[in-house]
Amino acid sequence: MVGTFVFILAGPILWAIQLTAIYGSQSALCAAGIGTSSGGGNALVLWSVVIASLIPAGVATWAILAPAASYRLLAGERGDAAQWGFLRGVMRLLTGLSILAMAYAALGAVFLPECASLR
Amino acid sequence: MSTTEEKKLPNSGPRPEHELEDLKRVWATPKGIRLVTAVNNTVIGTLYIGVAFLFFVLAGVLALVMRMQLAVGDNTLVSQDLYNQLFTVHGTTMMFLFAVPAVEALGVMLLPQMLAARDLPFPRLSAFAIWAYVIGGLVFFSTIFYDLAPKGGWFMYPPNTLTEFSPGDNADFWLLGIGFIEISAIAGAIEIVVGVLRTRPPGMTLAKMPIFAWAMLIFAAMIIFAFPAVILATMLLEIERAFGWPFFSAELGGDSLLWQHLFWFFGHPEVYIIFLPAAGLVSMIVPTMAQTPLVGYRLIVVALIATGFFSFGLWVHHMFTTGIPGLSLAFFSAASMAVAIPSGIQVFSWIATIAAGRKRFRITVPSLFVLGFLFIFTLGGLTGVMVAIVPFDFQAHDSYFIVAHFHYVLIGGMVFPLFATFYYWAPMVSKKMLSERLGKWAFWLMFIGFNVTFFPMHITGLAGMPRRVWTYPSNLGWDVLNMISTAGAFVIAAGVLVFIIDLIRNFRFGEGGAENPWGAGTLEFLPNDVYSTRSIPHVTSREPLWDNPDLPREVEAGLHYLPNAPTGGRETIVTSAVEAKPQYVLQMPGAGWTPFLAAAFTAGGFLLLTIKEVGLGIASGTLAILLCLLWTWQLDKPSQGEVDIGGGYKLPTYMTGPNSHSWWAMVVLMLVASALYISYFFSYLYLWTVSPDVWAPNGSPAPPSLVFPVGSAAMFAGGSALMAWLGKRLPEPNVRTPGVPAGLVIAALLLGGGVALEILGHMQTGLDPTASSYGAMVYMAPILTGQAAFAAIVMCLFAGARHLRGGMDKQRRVTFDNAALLYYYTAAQGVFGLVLIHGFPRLIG
Repeated sequence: MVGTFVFILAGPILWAIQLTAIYGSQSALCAAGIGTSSGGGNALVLWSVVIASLIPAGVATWAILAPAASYRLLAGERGDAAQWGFLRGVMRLLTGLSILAMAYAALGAVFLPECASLR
Repeated sequence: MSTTEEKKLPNSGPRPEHELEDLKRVWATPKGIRLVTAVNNTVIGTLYIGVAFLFFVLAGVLALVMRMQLAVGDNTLVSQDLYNQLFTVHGTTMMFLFAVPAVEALGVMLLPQMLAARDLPFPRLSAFAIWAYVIGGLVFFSTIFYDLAPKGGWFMYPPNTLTEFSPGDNADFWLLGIGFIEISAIAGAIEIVVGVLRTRPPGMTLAKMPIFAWAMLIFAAMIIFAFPAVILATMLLEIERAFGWPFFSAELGGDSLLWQHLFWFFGHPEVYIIFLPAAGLVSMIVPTMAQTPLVGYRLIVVALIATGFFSFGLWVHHMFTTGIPGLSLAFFSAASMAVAIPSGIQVFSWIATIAAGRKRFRITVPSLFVLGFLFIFTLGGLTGVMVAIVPFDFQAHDSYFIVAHFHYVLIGGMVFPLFATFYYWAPMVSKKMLSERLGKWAFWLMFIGFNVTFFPMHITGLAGMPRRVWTYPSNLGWDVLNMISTAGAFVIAAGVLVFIIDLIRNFRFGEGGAENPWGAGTLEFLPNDVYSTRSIPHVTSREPLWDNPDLPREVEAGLHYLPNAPTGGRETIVTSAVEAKPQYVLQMPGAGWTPFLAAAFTAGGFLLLTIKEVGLGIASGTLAILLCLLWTWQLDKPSQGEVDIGGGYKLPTYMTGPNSHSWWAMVVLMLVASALYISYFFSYLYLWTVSPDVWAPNGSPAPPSLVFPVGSAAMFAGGSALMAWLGKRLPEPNVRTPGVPAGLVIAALLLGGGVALEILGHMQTGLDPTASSYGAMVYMAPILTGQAAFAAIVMCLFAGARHLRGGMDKQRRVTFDNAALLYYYTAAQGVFGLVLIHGFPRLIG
């Protein structure tokens, strides 16, 4: 049962992991001053954001493309066809939205200095 | 198909006459003064929503006083000090005493009927939560009348709320009073999660669940993860105010922004905690009014879940102007805009449903309030996207533009759907329907008044008027706009007054109201009585009443599941969480004094502590715990063997382990506890990132010898092993052995000893919690574990006592299993804390 709910919520859970990872690593690296240049840039932060975004986005994409395999991994055998269609559809839509949210959050790292305050 | 034989219904008729009499007797509502002992969801749900509405009216009156003060510049109608109290109590009451309780009340009142359950699984817990809220809420609100109300805004930011700037008890009333109301909300949330997942009727799979049930499930899950953050925040601030532990004082390594992080990690989801159930209500009303199934059911489920999740990634957008690095702002700006997508999905779905049924769509009072909601909420959502854009927020922050935005979102998103609900579902609990004529007057007055009040505030804000000002100079060009807003506020009040007149004239509590007056397709419009539905239907679609028009007659004739009271007491069917397959019959408690008295003494404990009557406060709290134990002693009824509920199902009447509803409640409670501890973990690391140079400060004693944490961990591990050993060796029924209570006492001692040893280790080094935020954070870890340990110890002793009295054994073991679950969790949390407190400072050198 828990596996079924994790399957449905896979996308948002991955999004939460991504946000925690990118915000946590950026805050810690900037606060500790590790790798920060005088203009506020920080390549370590940039790469941590890229990596912390690509991994969950990749897992999320796999879940969308292979729902049966991911369900088997998390919850075991599938129920009846109508229930499976609902679970798969909800998971795919949620995961798609989550990938969009991950991409949107990560995009900032491309345009903004990683540790500078904007004002 | 017209005969029961052709349809293969779960039970055959006619049913024996005594069955209905039995149900009425078992579920009868107490009369007279004993009404306060009632636990039926319709009774306490109606009380709950009535009191929430009372708070709405009271907070609205405070708003009118504020609008009178602001109607013209340089006004002195109320003093600056009173104005501060007014906006603090207005905001706090609307958010904590009206909005969240109102939607939780709707959950308590509507969910059992929508799920055709006899009641939610923990009716006494609901009653406790409601009475705690009623008593605590009334006392909190009354502080405005004797100059004791808090003055720090509904968000109570330190350092303004530290003792130095907010002396007296005013801020303490907020911290202890609201902390206590939050506990009440969490109790309700546990009830709702377990209720939605485990008391659905057979056949109602997740894909067939009413949207309101989905919304309430997500609402409750959000409370479970969001409220602990603010509970921790209120604990830290109260401890700093009372004992001087400097969590928020910058000069000693604290940071007032820590409060903002914790508060808004709760505060932003709070907006969606309020909105999602309202959206769920709209998703129930629109299809009925359009006589068309909801367009995009699956998309709406997706939107609800996505909104619930994304709302936890928005908290920093309340802190855009606090000097956080630009990239951090971008992360949260992105999430703030991403959440607009699922909200938009819902709006389009409702519009599509109305369009699909446009030839049948009826303009009734609920429809009008829903249409008003769509208009107002959409505008509020659009300004929400504006303030999610960082540069715009820099300009609009703390101006009246924000006041306009959040009133459009909150009143549009919650109050209008709530009024639609009042009119739509009143027949479920009232003998008479509310008036369509008066309702239309109420709607138009409220709709026009709302826009007249709040639309000009966008302009007032852009013209530069800041929030929370007591008055303003008359020469700034804000007078006319403010006067318009004040006039609009009185028009809203007139609309609410018309609604109250409608209530007085037409609302009559009791059964016997019109049956399915709107032609709805969902189960709450089945024939109802004090026992909910006569029999629990087998569900095969999302709109069972539309797909089977004969269902009300079948259910009323007792032809579906559990048409009687086979154990002789209150009971309902527990089904599996995903597929809704019947698993067992839950024996439920009936009316009793203990929930009411426990709530009264709990409220008394908190409020007496607030006014520094420590001895009386502790006595009141102890009485509350004793009453809770007395109430719990009456639960965990023994098995009555298997009972036939119809349809070939012979179900057990006692269940243990992961299938048991109480196991689920304990797991949800542990999620709450872990969310609280994760908030603490975040706070610890946050203060380190703010002041790594003082972690620990120069001159601090070295961490205690590793003997102390290793000793603590050994006690936690040993106690857990003992609990596991005891769990495998519980004696057979009717066999009593002193070894079981002795083992439980030893386990309790080990748990308490582990916590005490950790505190002792730091004390012997001379670490002072008042000297630095580091020291304060170090002591907080065992204090938080000590809280959980206290509950686990009480539960261990309780289980031991029950065994001695013959109420706990190898088969009847729920009390032991619950104690063991909390014990393992507490031990794990304790070990995690030891690793953090003793490992992290050594790790960073």
